[in-house]
Amino acid sequence: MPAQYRDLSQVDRVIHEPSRLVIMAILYTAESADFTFLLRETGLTRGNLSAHLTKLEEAGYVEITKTFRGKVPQTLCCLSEAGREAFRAYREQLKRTVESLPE
Amino acid sequence: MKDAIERTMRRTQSYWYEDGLAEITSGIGLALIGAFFYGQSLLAAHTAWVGLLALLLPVVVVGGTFAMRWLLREAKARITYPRTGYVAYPRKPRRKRLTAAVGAGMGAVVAGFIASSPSLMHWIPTIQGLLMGGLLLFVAYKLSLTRFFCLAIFSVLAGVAVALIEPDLARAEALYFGLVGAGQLISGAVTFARYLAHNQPVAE
Repeated sequence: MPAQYRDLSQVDRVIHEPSRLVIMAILYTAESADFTFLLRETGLTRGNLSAHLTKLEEAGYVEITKTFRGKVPQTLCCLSEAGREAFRAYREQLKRTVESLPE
Repeated sequence: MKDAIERTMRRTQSYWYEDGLAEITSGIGLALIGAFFYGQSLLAAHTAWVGLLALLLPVVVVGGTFAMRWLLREAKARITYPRTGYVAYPRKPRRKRLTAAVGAGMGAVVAGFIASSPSLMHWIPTIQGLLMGGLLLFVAYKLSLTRFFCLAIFSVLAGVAVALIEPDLARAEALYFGLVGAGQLISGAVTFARYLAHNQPVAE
């Protein structure tokens, strides 16, 4: 297998799934975002978003905090240091692969 | 896919401006500064009052900035977050804040230099228009927000026009800040109305 494809086959599959990639990209840009914002930006259903967040939390990439905004419950999500590093590495890997492909 | 990631990141960054509230509050702030200069121009004959008002300007600017920031936070908490969610942005690193402070300091030096030369004082609104236009252009380019391009052009045009038509500096400043404040207020109000029409509060 050529090197550039081998590189691509080794990408972090937890991040590579499109919905989780969007979640990671949002949380990489923001310090934290709540469930409502992620729901709107990803276009996922509540159940699907919950499942993806759980997967990211299990991988140690996302930290989830349940809190209150006034009297309204709020679920805040943010990237852990490991998540931030994993997303950086993923982008680098993707960039390298895309750049090595012929026009 | 690389583009999709960048688009998502840019959308998250520009979310702060999506509801138009940032423009509304900055528009109110600028209009208040304009009103302050208008008051100064009305009291031009009473030199003691003019001196006092000049001393009050930094208080008005700093106090107004804090008041508008508080108003923006409250408005977002009550209107935006229940509708489209909450996003906290990372605080600017120390180096960036230092660069901003140095920039502001250099601006103050330029303003001081201009103030010492009466012939250049006439062009203060133009310089302000260019500085604000540059800032708005930066935001427009970084976040791909078309309305900020328009606001940037409007700021520069207002600065030039005011310098050409109004010889009295206090009145020129009042006119410039009033115009730019009104521009931002209108742009923010239209964006806000659109935002409200498309987004209803949701329960988490």
